[in-house]
Amino acid sequence: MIAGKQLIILVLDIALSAIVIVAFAWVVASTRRPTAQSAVQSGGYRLRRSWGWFYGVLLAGAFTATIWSIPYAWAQPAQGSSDPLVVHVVAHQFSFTMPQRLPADRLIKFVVTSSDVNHGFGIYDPQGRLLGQVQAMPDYSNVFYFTFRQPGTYTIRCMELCGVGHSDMFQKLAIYPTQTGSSAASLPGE
Amino acid sequence: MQAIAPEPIELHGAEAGLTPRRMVGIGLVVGLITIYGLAMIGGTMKAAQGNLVHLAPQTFYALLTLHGAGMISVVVLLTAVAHWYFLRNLLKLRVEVLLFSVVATVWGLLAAGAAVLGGGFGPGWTFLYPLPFIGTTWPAWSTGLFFIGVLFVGIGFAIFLLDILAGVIREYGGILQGLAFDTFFPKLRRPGKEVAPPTVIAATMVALDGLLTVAAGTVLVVALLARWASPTFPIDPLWIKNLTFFFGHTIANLTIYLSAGVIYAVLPAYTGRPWNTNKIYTLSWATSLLFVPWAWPHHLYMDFVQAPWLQLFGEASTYIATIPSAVVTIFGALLLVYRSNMRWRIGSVFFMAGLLGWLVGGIAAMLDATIPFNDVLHNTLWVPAHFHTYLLGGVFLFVIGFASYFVGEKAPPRAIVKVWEWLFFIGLVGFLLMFYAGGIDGVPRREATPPTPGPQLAAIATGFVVILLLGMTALLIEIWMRARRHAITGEGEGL
Repeated sequence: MIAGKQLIILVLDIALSAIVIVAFAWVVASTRRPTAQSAVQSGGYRLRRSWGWFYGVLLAGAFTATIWSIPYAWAQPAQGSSDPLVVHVVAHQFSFTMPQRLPADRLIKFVVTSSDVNHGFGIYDPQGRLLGQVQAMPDYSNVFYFTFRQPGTYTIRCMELCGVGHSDMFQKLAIYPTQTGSSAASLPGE
Repeated sequence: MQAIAPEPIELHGAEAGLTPRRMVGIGLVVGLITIYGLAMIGGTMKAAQGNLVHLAPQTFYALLTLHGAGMISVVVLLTAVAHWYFLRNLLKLRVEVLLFSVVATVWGLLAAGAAVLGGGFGPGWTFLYPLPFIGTTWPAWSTGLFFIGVLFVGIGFAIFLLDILAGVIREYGGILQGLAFDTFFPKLRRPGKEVAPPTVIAATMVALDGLLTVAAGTVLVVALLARWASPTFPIDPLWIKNLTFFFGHTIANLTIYLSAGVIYAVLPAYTGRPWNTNKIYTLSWATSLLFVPWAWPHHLYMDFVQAPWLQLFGEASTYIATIPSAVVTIFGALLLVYRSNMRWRIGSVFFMAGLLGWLVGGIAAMLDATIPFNDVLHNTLWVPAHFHTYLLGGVFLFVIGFASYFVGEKAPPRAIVKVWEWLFFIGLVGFLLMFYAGGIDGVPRREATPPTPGPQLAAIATGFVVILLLGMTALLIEIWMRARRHAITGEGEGL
């Protein structure tokens, strides 16, 4: 079931591609009624001017809209004041050192790094939908805030080609309801 | 204003020695045969992901590396050769330089091929540090040989670009004139000289950005070779990741701009209408020149330690870099075709389809390059979906279109050609749709054994690859047979 951001992306991609395909089909069909270039050129230039302005405004609007919803910690200062649970993740060829259980409905601050090559840290929900990700890079730590909304068995999967065992680099993560869980201090792997 | 009416080249294959036409023909044949082999490898990988054949993971990743590195190199070669064919009429270029570039690229590909097929080198064509050196399943010699091969390809491309820049300066008096800045400042223009046509403007932009890219690639590969020779050689993973994607993204992106130079030259022939340079084109290509090299940070959105301004600038630059394509070149192409007396041939069909692939692939690329979407698209099959759309469904279609134009298209194609075209496009679209479906389902890319629904989608995609290859084979045989016939009759390029 496609939902969330993926649904928005799919709808946008299909809609915009469909507009383009229709425009191409229209232009191709127009070659059945040929005319002189001078008969269409000035109108075409006017259309190009309008299209250029429209496209420029569209891009500026998209850019402005997106900078308010980027996933970086520095762009979301409110997250810093929510007392996050700090979880350290170290990726290796071909596993993650990290807790196997985490609470739901709790802001988690993942501090992700790698002990060898570049890896990815992708979070898939119990239905297999990718919810978010961050890279695990040697010598650097990427800070990634995330809240698991639903209890269940999630999958953590490597998202960067990291060697011959890349396809096997995934593991389960149990997300338990907050009221029945253990405290942050007792979580293994921290 | 100058129309770029394509002047038929007077050479028809009967001349002795290395004529420009023969050199372009050699480049096309070498490139297309290589693409054919690499496409078969791509199809084999799909079949392996779909559990239709068995490939050991190390074999899969080695083939993945060869497929990626080979395709990028050969697509650069083919688009460069096609662009050169028209530039040859506009600038004084040396056929020996093109020969050198082709030979250097072939040597580079052979070295990379030996490293992969002989040694099993398999960290992907982006060979992201430190993967070539840690946990490897291949011998050290193959790592060094692969990088030396990449250096050869870079040297070949750099020599080709330097010859173009020299040609632009000789012909128009400077780089600014090559970019048509004399549309704004007429005093720059040489007496008696007309403004540079769009094909030359595109070549100047590609030469400048291409040399920058090759320089970055050289620094990258030399650093990796130093690390290969001396394991203690210090390399910063974030720094080299930026350099890797600056090189990798820009070199792949430039193939579309090399193609644009070809489109400017051939569409006037199919439509019978001139394509003129004006101030809009000057601004457009100056924008591409400045912003195309700044789009690479969108590959590092998921590296949260990256400098914030680079992330935002990467998104803005990616957006801005699409304006010249969407508003000027592709719109200009549609305007040229609109209600024209378009002669529909294999060439014109493939050029129009390629423009569509460029745009549709571009839309998917922009969605991926939008930071809030990237966290669910990055390194999923959405990435190969969009770059296969504009490389296979865009640039490669321009190459086939050019090949058909090159051998001559005076007569309309045989009726059966429509069947081959349909086969090709059905295979292409089906193959791409499976990639997109996997991407939206979050299936990671570059997986020897992908998670569900990756195998199911790959199995269906394999069927479409077979259809695509059937159509492609028939079309290339059709073009080849026409080339042989025209070689006998003396009929050459054009319409």
